[in-house]
Amino acid sequence: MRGKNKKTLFDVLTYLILSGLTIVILFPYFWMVLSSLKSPTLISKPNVWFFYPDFESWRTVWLEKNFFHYFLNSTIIGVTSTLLSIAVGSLTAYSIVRFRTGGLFFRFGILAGQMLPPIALVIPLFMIMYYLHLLNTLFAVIITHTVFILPLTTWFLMGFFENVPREMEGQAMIDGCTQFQAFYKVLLPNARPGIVAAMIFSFVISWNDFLYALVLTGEKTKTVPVATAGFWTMRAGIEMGNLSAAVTFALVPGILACFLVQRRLVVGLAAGAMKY
Amino acid sequence: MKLRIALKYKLLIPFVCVVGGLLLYPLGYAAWISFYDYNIGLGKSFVRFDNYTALTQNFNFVSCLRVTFIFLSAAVVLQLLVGFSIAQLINRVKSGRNFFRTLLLTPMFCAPVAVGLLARFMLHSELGVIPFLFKQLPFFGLGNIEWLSSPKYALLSIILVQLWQGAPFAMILLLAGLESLPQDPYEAAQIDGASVFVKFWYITVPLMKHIIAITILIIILDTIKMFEYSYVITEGGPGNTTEILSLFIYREAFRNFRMGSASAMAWVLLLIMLGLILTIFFAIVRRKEL
Repeated sequence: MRGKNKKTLFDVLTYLILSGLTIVILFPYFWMVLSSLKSPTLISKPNVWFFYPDFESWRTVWLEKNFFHYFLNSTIIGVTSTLLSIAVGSLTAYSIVRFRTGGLFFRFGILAGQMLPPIALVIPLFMIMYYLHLLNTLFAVIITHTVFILPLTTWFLMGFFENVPREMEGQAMIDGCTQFQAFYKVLLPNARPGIVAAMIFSFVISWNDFLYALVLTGEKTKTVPVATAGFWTMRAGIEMGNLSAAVTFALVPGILACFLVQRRLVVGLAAGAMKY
Repeated sequence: MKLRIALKYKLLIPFVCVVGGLLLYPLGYAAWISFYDYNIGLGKSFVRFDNYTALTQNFNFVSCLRVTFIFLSAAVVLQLLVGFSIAQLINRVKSGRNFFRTLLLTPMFCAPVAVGLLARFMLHSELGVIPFLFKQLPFFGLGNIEWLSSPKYALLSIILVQLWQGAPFAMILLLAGLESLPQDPYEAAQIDGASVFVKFWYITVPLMKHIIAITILIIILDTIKMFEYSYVITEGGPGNTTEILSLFIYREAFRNFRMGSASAMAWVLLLIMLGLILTIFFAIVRRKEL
């Protein structure tokens, strides 16, 4: 009887601590949205929690600060580089998963490649784009993001491809398909949920990038994170409402994606990490 | 059979083109530049190893290596501890596991620059909600901490922001590891009357050695490339107490426009990371069969 009580106590404690942690995680989001709805006179008062919402900051950010334009830039960059990296990554992942190409070292290289520090790559890329007169174009950011999300995409796809039984392709090949046909007619459709998850995740990584976009874009080609960073000015008190609104909109795609792909992401990550 | 051998390399052609053209070539180009005194628009001159030898005498560079090292050590220890604790807690939970996991995972999907800006706002000594809340609490002096403008606490603030955003990733990897553990050793230990800590130290940790090593590696590599927090939260200050390596290199390249010297620093960073990756690969990963 005593043991059972102890277990219940532990369970209650677990839920309490987890709820506390959830508050720590969620409070910044709450504060961000709350601040974005404050009027300029209330924004400098952290002690005001209840007030009539004022959508002035939202209006300013979208209509006066060109956020529509930056959203469009970020979306074009994210979608294009995701599609490119999925195309290249799926071929690579298939080669690694089915033929063990390059062995464990190549596999590990893909994992390590995700962690390449952007600062090391951005300097030569900036110079190359400068000499090719491609600075301030969306194209420069798109190809840069393609190579920077490629290892991650490949890593995810490897995990998802491994979950599709090899026999399915064998069956297709007995029916007269070539190996490559078996890949795109059998494996790809069967791995579709995983591929969609990998695409969403790649899009978020591209969306969230700051350093590459900061260096390679100009006034017209700014992405959302670069534009958001521009809201911090010396007149901090006045711009805070706009800043909170911009941060809110910059975070929405990522958080939506988290709810969409969280479950598959766990599978993909686990499958990838357990391999080593 | 002949076709198969051909195909497996054919599949890699696009990958090799992309990685070769947009990754290896630029990195090689950076290595070449690092031997020049290179100013965009002003021309270049060959200086051999001067950019590298100058680094050892550059007091600021040495100081930012120190800051980076402190930041890195704190990040590894804290994220591993917090990530593991949360993973253990979630693993205990039967109902609502997915609810907690999803909510606790959201920071991983947030743009670091947006998180940094929000943190700067929330920690601001007059406008910020966190100093305001701490002033209401009866803890001694917590309300008077200048989170961002005092040299003592600025780095701590950045470490805490990084913990908020980084711990979920450690948590999810370790949770995946916990979920895949076999149950038999725990049942045996239960019969022998082992305590929770004994079970953790003698069963969980040895069984999860590999996943812990991979987690540490990912935390290190993820932290060493951090740029946004120092850039937007403190701009490296006060003084240079939060000037981490990425920010230092960024300033050398895009404020001072000294591309040669910046490339040399970038290569030092790359070599440090390569050393870490290879150490972990040969120490742990290779011993396990694929």
